[in-house]
Amino acid sequence: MTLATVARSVAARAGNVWALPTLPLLGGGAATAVWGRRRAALQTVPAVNTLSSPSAALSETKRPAHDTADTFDALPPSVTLPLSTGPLSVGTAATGGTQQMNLFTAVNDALRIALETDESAVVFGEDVAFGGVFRCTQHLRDAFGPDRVFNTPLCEQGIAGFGIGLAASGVTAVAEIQFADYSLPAYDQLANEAAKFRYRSGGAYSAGLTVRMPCGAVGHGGLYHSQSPEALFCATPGLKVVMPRDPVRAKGLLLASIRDANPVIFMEPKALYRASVAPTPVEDYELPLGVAETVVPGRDVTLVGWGAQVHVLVAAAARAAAEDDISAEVLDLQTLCPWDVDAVVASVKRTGRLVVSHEAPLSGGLGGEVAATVAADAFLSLEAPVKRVCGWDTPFPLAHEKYYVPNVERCLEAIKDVVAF
Amino acid sequence: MTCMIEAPLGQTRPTSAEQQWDTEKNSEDMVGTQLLHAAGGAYARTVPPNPPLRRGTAAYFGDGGSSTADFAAAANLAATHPSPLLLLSRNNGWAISTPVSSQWACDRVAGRAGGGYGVAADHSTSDDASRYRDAPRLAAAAAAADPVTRLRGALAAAGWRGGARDADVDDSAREQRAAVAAAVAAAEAAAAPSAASLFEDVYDVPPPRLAGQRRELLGHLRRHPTTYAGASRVGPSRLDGTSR
Repeated sequence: MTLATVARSVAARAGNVWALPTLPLLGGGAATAVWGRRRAALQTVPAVNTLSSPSAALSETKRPAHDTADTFDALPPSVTLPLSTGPLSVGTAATGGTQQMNLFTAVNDALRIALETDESAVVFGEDVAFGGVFRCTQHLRDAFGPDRVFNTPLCEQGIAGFGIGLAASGVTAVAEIQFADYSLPAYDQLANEAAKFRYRSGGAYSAGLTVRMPCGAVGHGGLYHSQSPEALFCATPGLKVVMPRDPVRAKGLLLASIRDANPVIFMEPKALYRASVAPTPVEDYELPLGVAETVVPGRDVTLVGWGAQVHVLVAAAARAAAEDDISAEVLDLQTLCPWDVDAVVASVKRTGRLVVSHEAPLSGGLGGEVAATVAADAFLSLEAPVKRVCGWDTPFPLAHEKYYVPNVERCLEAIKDVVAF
Repeated sequence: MTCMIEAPLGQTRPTSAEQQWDTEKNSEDMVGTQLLHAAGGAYARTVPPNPPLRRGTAAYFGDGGSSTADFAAAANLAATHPSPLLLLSRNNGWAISTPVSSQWACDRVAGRAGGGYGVAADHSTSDDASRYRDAPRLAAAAAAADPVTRLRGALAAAGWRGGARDADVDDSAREQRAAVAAAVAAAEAAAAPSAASLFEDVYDVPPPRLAGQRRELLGHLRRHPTTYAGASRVGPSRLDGTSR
């Protein structure tokens, strides 16, 4: 897998639209941000598109997040994250500012902070010792030693079960499964053990491990390196499922996931590891689980997605605005289980129309869960049936990937269809 | 990969390569899953009305694969339900970056050819091994550690080579190489499959919903004839005629 391949695949799916709308300035209320380790003066800064251009993705920056000598003087001084409790401002000059990170360096930074701040934290999985096949664990073994960062034998159910045992014994266990496609052997341990530990013991025990896994289409992954199995884990009460769309969210959500007392499946869109770049706060901060984010505000239709698909929806929204003067609102669920029902319902009550999009196959996918909930909770607000733009009901193809993934063209057609209904 | 081997008892030379192998050409990507399939396939040989026990089943796996739960289950099934199963470990000492010293703590894979591990050529096709292996030693080991050469040596040491058998093996190797090269050339020369073929072989009979999705994709491609690289390939598919 080369950077060029990744960048091309992401560019192809985003329809080569790189000039994306920025968020308007967000005036905050008086509410204090509950999460995060810093409470700074409000500085609202327009969010930047985190998908770098293909050429930027190709000019690889390999520096780990904790290296010094950052030369990006022109970066915004902070990052404002709109939370349901009020804006959270992180990465201010007082707290260390921001540093250009991509998704894997942001994940790496979160893992480093977790290991630094929690002496019981351990990171383990296949090939994590040398840095991991996606570099998410680079330098950690050197910094924290082989007892805390170590390889496991090649056995996913072993990784999951071992992690459950660690977590139940008070260790902060952060497991890695090398590809989400390989999580299925671990499904028994995760669904039948981790998810049920608290419930079956009446709260006496819990297994709050975090299981990280790369997921999603990457251009050439085929059957077993492209899957998005989030629906399987969301169907198992007792687990939480999280998927970030960019480095800023990845770092904050991962720290929150690691520190959450419940088992969390943290899914990282592998196509974004290098392609998604953003000025990311260097401090220790968390983003709340269970809270969706409005990426692009709009009036005419609500678009719901997660992970890499959010960027496709943002691009489709821009095309809809340019071609048909449609104002589309884009929501990133961020947490898929438990997902932010209130945010989606509130949005649809304003717009009256909903399109949900995900790479995973249509049937049985989370889009159905969102659509049914909205139909129940916002029926009288709907001006059109809910539309879903998803992978087809086939295994993930290799040669046919470009016809399979829900790209900008198909999303745009769906937007126009619901608006014209 | 799982292979069913026809063991031509009493013969010294099969008449063709095809008579030697009946290979299940169903590639695996999830490590170790094929071992269980092989265990079932081997046991099936003992269940009527299968032919008498002249066929065995061989499954190939790497050293990393021997750590999977499927390996344990497969070996256990074959042991408790006697069946003609051959589990062939290709131990090159590494599973991506993980050396066998991290993979197990005992003298695990019995009967490994050549004895010892560690010394091997650049072993992985998926990454740059120099990130976790010593580059100069890697280069030096490459030439000396060809697994085919090592296996020939092991077979000779066990007394299983010599005479007419050597010529058989060399001829067979040449045939295999030629067959593979021809297959690769044919595949590379073939036209890309049609978009509609994306929906083939999910089930034996396509469910109703899938036909609708196929129509949806083909309609989309017709509306966007130049958007997709190489133009929309609304070509033939085995599902044509089911419902357009």
